[in-house]
Amino acid sequence: MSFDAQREKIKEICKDLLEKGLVETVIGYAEGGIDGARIPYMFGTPEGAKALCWDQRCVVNLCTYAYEKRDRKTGVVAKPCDVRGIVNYIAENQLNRENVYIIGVDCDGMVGADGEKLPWCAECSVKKPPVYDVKVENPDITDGESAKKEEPSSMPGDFAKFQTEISKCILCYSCRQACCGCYCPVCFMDRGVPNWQPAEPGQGAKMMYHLGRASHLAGRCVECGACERVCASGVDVRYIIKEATKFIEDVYGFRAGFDTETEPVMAAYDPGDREIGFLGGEKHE
Amino acid sequence: MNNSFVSKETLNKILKELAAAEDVLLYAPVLNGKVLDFAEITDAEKIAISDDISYKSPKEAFMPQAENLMTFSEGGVLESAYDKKTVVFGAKPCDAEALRVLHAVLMTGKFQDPFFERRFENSVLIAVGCASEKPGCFCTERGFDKEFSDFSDIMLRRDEGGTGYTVTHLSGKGRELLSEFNETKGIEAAKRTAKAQGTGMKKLELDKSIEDRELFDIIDWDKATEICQGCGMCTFICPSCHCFDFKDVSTFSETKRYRCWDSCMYPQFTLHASGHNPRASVKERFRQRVLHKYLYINKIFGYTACTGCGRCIRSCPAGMNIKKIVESIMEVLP
Amino acid sequence: MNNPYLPVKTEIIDIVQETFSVELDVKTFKLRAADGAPMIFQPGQFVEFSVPGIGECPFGFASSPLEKGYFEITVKRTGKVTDMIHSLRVGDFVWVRGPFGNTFPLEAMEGSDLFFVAGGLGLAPLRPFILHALDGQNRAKYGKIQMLLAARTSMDHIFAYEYGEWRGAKDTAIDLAIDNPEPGWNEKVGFPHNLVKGMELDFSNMHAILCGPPIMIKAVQSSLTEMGLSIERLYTTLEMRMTCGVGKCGKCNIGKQYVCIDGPVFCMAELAKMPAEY
Repeated sequence: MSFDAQREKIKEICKDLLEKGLVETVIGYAEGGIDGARIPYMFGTPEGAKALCWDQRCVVNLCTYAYEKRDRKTGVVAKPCDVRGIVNYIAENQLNRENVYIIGVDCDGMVGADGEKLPWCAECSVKKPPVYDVKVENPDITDGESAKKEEPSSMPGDFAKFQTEISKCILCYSCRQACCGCYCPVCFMDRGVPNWQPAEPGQGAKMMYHLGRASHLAGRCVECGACERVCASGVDVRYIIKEATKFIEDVYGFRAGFDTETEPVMAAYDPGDREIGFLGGEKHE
Repeated sequence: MNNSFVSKETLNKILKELAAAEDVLLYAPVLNGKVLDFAEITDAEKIAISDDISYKSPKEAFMPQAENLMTFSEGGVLESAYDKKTVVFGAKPCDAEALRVLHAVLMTGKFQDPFFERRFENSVLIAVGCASEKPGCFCTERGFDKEFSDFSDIMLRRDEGGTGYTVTHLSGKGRELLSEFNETKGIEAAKRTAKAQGTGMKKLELDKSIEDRELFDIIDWDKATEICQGCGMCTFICPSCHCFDFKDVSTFSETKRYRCWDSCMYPQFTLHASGHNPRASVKERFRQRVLHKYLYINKIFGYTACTGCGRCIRSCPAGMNIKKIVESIMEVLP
Repeated sequence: MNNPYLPVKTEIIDIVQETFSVELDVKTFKLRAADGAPMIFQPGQFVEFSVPGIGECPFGFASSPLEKGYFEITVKRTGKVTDMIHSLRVGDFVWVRGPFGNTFPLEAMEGSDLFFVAGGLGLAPLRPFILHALDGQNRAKYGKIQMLLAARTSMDHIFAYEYGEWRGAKDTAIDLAIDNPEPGWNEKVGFPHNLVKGMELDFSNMHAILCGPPIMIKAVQSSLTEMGLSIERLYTTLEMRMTCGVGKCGKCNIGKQYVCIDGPVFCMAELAKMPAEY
């Protein structure tokens, strides 16, 4: 099934949802970005479905918009990563399952303006939505191994890379804003008491921010790549989060955003925890 | 050889000297990974000369993201010292026009900003005209000349043969800088003034006679701003955004007061200590950003604080487009 | 160039505890520049007050502009900066810059009656005006002076120690009010917007000056205009975040106005034309 066929099916589903009054708003994609990029599109009438787009440029993760509209019934055209974001919201009691209608769309990865597959899409292995109310399949797409394998990392090399990456950061916090895991009403970086943010946007402030955010996202990242996509400075933001995600998967066997029932790993407390990686705990191999 | 021409080699030599000079801060476009940055450099080899536009604007040369203003200690308060000369190379005409706006806001009115003044007075802005418009650029619609701005100190135009540059504008500061180098001592500016661009096109601006309140409901601001994620990156990379906050940092013996960029897109920007927030929603904040730029600053300081560089449009994570919003306002205005 | 951001070292020469209830903690700080230079200001203006390391905050002058030996600010404990300010003691040094902002149109109001309505801490920015008008050499310039001074409880009236003197001034009437009845309270009870309706007010030649919580200002304004006072003759002072105080930082911008330059004193007729983002 091609993008065109998927798009027609999405349009049909959205039109139907609004006609039947099952949702108040639908969030999907429409034309309007520069260089052919698609932008988020929200509409509340069946006619609105005509302007829906679905192709390889539908990059924005829509789950943050579903969260914004959490007080009403909303339909979301959701790629697997969007779905995982929504599932994460539900599992963390931020969103009512009843208030979101998931139109799960199979996705083989999106491309940038240059036609190249986006880096996070190239590494993605989740190509079918794990949770959905209705799905828009593409039989050509199968879940499985990601096309690109990651290189094994080493601590000293990682730290140098980390330093280089964050040196580009201008601390504009767009990565936080675009992230579906960052929904704190007041971010720790914005708090006055205690004051975590140094005045000068130096390496110290950047380390504080990126390490703080990474630890808050441990076991909660859904690997949608939004943080890296929105970074105007070209920082590989995912790099540090990826390590935390891998650690949680290795140690606790947990990946965020696959089902709404499992208790999120960071919300669970187990007295028998081996405390791997903790001071005094077991070493992480 | 005509007296307004500077060869590539000459310019490179000058930049190399400026980069090496200890009392000069040289800002220029530089490649940072995959993106074109605008940063302070010490190695002239790193300057990325191209027609591309950097994602960041050169404004930090005049108003750094964090600037130490003063230091409090037992002995009293001491204004921070600043004695460097700043040379900004490779800015675009839209950046020079944006500096005109910064200058108007910070240097005119009831009070003047001494910290901006000392950086501005000690700076030379070398701008290079654009050969082409980039996706998202709309300086032409804003009525600017993509090849020329007389708010620069030295305005260059890339010569068609690619062998060098034609100098199209020289200010006193620009002339002084060039005369420090033998090769460019006698350089004069070729005759050129800003060309009215896009004849017949309606200029993208809002009439100053409009009452502020009229624009509050003139378009559906909820709809216009619904995809904005409120990240505020647009204000950081904008060459004419200038809002700021003070921040104190203490050690045992002293406290340094910094001026840091702030953003009207952040909820904390207007938050009162009581918890009341006059602009609590993204809609109100984005509306403030658009109207502050296009209406209020124009009324107060005489310039629209948007020069059409398109940075906010190209870098917006959600696809917000200030040009489209202003267009939609202009459409419904009588 | 004169640097408007550079503050002056200032000594705290006295501190007065103004309120005595648990919910509201207000203190008045009497200040004098370390070098003794007088602070010349007009009623309505404000200063930027800072404690290095904690931050800078705008506060309206609360003392008489005629007093050259010192000036006062009144501070309610609400957040990080005010917590710190409240812990300061007599003899401590702070940093102050100003005065900034516009003033009440004192001259334009000459010859008319004045009606001050203050809610809680709202009395502080009105006090310079009240003291200016009540002063012997100025008193004859104004007609009748009326005040309605409201507070949440009887423990929360600021400058209460001065009311006796104010009441004793020629042709001056003060009504005190609290929100709910209390044993032993013989003055008014209720909210200002209801109380003004029961007051004897002659609008033929009066200017009203309101200050208090935004909700109170709005309610009193609508009561007074309903009763026949023109909004041209109603004044208030706005509270906004004002980082720089000199019209640069952009925080206090409302429409084409910067509250720190064009305000904080606004005529209600002017406010009615401005976007309601305050």
